[in-house]
Amino acid sequence: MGEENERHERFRRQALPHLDAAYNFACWLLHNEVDAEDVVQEAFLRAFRSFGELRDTEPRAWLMAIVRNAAFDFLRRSRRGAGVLLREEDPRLVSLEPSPEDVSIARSDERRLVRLIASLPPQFREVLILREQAGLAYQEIATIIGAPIGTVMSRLARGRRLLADAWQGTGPGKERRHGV
Amino acid sequence: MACERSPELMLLVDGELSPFEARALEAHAASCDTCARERARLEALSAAIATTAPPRPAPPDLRRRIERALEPAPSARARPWLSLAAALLLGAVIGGGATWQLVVPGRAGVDSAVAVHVRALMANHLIEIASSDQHAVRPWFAGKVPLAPPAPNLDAHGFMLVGGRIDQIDGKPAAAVVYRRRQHIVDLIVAAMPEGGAPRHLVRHGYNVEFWNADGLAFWAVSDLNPDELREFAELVRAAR
Repeated sequence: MGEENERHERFRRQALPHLDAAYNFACWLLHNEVDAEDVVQEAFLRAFRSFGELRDTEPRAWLMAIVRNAAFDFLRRSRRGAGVLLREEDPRLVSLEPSPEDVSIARSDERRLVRLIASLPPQFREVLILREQAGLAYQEIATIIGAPIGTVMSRLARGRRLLADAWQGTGPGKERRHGV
Repeated sequence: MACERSPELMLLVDGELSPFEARALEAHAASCDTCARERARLEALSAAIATTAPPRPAPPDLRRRIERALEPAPSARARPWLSLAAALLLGAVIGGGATWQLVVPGRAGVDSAVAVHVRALMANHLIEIASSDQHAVRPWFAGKVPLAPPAPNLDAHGFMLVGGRIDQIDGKPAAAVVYRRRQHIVDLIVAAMPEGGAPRHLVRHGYNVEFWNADGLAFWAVSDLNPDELREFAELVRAAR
């Protein structure tokens, strides 16, 4: 039982500091703050149950991977598919141009950039969020999404180009199929 | 105008280059318009995200919910029945006419030590780390309890090291090192406690207890072993320090 207390204490010390990053990541995967809360809570409890295996490793990437899995499980269950991974040739890749109503609803740059990030295809959005907002290294991102580091780099480059072009109003048309 | 090096600018901006590589690429970008523009483009985008789309912090309520869900079960946390068990034992002692022992140093801890030992046996919780190697048992306690209990190798004397566990005595963290002689368990319970007085031998509920102090630590050796052999054990542990 002493061991059990010690495990709680260690989890509190090593995992809870990543709660903000986990929640933010879940928000971007799910497009919904209420769902993000449920998913993160479930992910942290899931993480705690298997925490013993991970004695001395920094648990951030491992934890974020669990959050990501929990988010995808949630999307599968709810069949909403908001974050379903698209293939790179999916036609939705080119739908980044803000619609007229987007523009009228979101006048400020602030809202516009958030909306543009939200409308990025998920496989680009997640690496962008993990790099730009969570500040993670490529290697950590590769661990989280379970892909080679080269994939992280190409998705990050492509996602940034799509986002920058949309943000500057040039639209993604010139970009399509020819990402970096 | 294309430059074959411009894809590398992303690595520079993301801090993924070694200092040497970074310096070389910066020198190149200083004289290459394409790369200078690429660098400016990436930095502008990062700055825009940082200022206009900052990450959302977790709601305080979510943090509270998770912390609450992570609370250890009450039995593992407070063990309210431990003090109850100690009180019952104390009651039995007083009822038995042994009230004079109330003034004897080390007495209160003895009741608790026997309760700790009995409870560990009953809950089948005697050992959390099973090892006969003193170099495995001793470091196992590091960081789990605020003390380093001795766990000497007493094989040559017929006391086999079996393992150890974390426990509590009177609400304070304690380390228990477990030995075996023949079929008898010897539970060496160690806590940082200001128990005073000379080494003493006591009997509680059929268990023999050897109590002593050393280096600001209180020791209780609890066993159903006979008093002479338990005293031998206590002397061996004291001598091994």
